[in-house]
Amino acid sequence: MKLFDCDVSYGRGCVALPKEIETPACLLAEMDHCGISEALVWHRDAFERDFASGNCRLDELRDTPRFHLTRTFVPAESPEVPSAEGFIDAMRTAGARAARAFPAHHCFLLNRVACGSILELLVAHSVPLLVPLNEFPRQWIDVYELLENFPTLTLILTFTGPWGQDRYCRPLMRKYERFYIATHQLKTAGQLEGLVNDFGPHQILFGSGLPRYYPGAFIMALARADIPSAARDAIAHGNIERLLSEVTW
Amino acid sequence: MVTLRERFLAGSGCPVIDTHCHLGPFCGFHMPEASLESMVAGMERRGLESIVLSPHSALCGDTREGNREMLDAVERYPGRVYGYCTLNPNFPEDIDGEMDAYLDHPGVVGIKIHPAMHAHPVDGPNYEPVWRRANERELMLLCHTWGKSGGCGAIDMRSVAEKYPQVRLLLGHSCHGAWEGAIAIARDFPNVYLELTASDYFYGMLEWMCRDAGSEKVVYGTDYPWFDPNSTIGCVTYAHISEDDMQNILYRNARRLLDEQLASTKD
Repeated sequence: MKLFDCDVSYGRGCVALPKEIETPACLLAEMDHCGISEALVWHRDAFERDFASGNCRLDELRDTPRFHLTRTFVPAESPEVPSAEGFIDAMRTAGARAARAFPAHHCFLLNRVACGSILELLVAHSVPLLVPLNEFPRQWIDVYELLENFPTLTLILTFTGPWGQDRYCRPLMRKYERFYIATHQLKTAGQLEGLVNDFGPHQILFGSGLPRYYPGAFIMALARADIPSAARDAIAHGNIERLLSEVTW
Repeated sequence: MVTLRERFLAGSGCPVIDTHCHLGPFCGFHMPEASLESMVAGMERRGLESIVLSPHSALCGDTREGNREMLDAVERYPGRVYGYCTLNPNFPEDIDGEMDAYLDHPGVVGIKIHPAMHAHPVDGPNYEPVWRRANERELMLLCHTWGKSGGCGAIDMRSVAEKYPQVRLLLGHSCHGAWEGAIAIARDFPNVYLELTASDYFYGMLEWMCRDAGSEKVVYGTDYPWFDPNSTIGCVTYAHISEDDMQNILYRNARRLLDEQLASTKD
């Protein structure tokens, strides 16, 4: 089973994890251990230190084709961001094909007033945006409002919690075909089969959250799930590959 | 040589025993495999030899009804489904009677308590008869544990481990978040075990537990049907630990605990 992980990071943060992955070499080694071919990567500096520093750290990955870069933003009103167009140009120049945001930790609202200019450009270029659920201050309420305002935004929701997502995420999956959920903690017994049965596999992306979580957790669950092979492959790699290929630059 | 991980990926690895399961629906979300029949079918698909359960009805509703549901499950699937007698400290008048009714049944292997859900500290007065009985009879006792303190955290659990050293104590969730404390308790007390539910998937956790407490002190558990047992099998078999450690965690430790318990019930 080919695996493309939509959410891995590296770098030392301020609070030690049980096991750290500090360098690209360590990250590649663990990806090899788990059988993960490629990954969308971010540096922990982007979250814990400063978004721009984290973006710059990823320059060291440009020559490693197994790594696909993301770029983190804050509102274009913030002096560190020259303009929404400037952010998009920087993404294009860096070869990044996905964006990230951490609104709670970085103290802004991911809504039309604060981020409308950037969000409109992400929509225009079909750039996926990855945001952890707990980075929305009002969690699912904010996700619902964001999609209501930007219904064609390619939103990949990560770290949705180990239980209780279904009653929140299913209506969104039904209404917004570009809403995606990453698998980090989709771990209820039978949940994956149920989602695939009711919605198809196309809105579910393999994402481990390494080094926060063991990739093996979902890899084993996906490998042994009672779903068609085509669905398994879509979740494992096909969906994220499709999304990245749709980016218009 | 085919690794244990590869064998699981191919369909069957080694036997697995899940020491922390539930049964029935839960208010917070839909569980596709909540019924007993779907759980047993799920066990077949995943290669689980046995589970030990306490129903949601016992934890969240009338514990007496829940224990009856537990016994029904145990009697319908002897040797596959074992049960914990759940005890609710909010109704202390029921505790001795419930223990008398269930602890001598061959399929009931111990006690389940949930100090957080039942809002009574683990070393509170209403749990005292539970600890005394469990200590006298060297019973398995699965206790929900979480954090450093607050009634069922690492500090609280160390206190009961010291006071009741004969209890075969499973730290449910391994004091989630206070793992250093939990691992120390498992290292320091011969009858205390780290139960994996909800603590399993943190990268590096299995390596840490094995290194500092020993894989003989770690038991597989998943909260099934909350969580997919395959997910925890994946955490264990993808961790950087030996296959000996993996088999201890997935099966051998629980098998030993159950066999010791079943032998003492027979006596």
